Amino acid sequence: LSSFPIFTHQFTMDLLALPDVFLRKLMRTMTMKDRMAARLTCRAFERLVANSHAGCFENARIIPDFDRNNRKRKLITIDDHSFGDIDSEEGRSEQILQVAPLLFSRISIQSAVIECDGDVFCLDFVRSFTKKFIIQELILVSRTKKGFENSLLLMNDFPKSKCTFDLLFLPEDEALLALPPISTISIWARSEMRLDEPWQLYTSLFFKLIETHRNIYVKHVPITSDELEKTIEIIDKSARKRSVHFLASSFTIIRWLRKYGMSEESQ
Amino acid sequence: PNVKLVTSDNEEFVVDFRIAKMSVTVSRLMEAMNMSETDDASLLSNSIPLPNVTKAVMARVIEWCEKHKNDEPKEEKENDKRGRTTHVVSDWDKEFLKNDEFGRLCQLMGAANYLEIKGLFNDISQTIANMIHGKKSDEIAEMFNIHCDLTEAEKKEIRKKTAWCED
Repeated sequence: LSSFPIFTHQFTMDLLALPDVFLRKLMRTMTMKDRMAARLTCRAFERLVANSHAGCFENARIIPDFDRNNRKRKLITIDDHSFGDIDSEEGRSEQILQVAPLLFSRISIQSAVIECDGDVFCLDFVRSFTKKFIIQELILVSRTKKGFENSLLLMNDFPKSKCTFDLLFLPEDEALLALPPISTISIWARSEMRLDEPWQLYTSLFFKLIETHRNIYVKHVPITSDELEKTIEIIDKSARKRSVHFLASSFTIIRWLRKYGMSEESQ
Repeated sequence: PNVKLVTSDNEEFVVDFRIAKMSVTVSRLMEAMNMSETDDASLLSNSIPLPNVTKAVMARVIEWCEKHKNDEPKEEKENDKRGRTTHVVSDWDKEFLKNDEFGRLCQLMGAANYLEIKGLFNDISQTIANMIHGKKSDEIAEMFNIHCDLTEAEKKEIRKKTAWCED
């Protein structure tokens, strides 16, 4: 049986004298800002904050951002708590790495977006900062070859996370084909590229990607109606639920529909 | 069928079997004493001693259990947000706990912990977290009767170190 606290007065009691199971539960219910305030109440609370799990937060972002003058800067947030203006003073990044271990022993994040291109955020910093993170869905954004390589290394740091690669550039074929099966891969799907722009994911590479990865989001694929048929066959082979998003020309789709007797006159 | 519960101050509470089963501790004790729902004699001849709960606190626990006896059991997962920001304290529970000063809440929480009544324990944890939410360190210390053993210089140093991330 748990030890029961001793009451010194009917209505007053030391919060920290309460059973450990309660304190651990309480620490998982507090926001990051409340944890910071609690640290200042006494040494015991300071230790409790540092040595307790912070609970589960909805999202975290470790990404480059732009300031008012359109200069690139570091952005780190956990839910609605931002870790301030990291670039305003030299040594801030180091301070962050010193403060994070004082705020929690572990932290669970439902969805974390990380962009580590080696320019704004270096790999060592991101690895140190996320050392105590348990991430459910890891979204790795990269727009350079270096960023892509760092994303692969970070993916290995979180083997239990559901991983999404959000590629804002097209890596070399070998690099793309060497990717282990991942939950979701998105290539330039977020960009506002027009259909008449030259970039395309050629069909043979597209087939290999949909054979390997579960969910694929890409823009234009120069696919023929027969290849569209093959795409559907590949998707159909898999018993699990999956998403494949791509743009094909209306001409391809019309030809494919006509193959099954569907035209403008069809009911 | 009814179950007899005896508090630390020797008060006997006769509660419905379903309510007694809401406490994991009581359930285990009943099992150890071979008390079963279908055996009235075993229920009549035995009472469950609860030396860590007083009469006043037991009455509150039973009131909470009466209200929640028909609740569906809730499943908690490691990665969901329950217990931090989305453990919703129902209106009835808020009303039930609102007049309890911190000392009373602690007694009730201690009983919920000892009796292993998870729903009540979670409600009280969230209520106390809500009391802390948005407060400054001095206010937290005052509210919970915490003696601050940090010097002003130490506090200043801690604030200085984290000021940039306390937006």
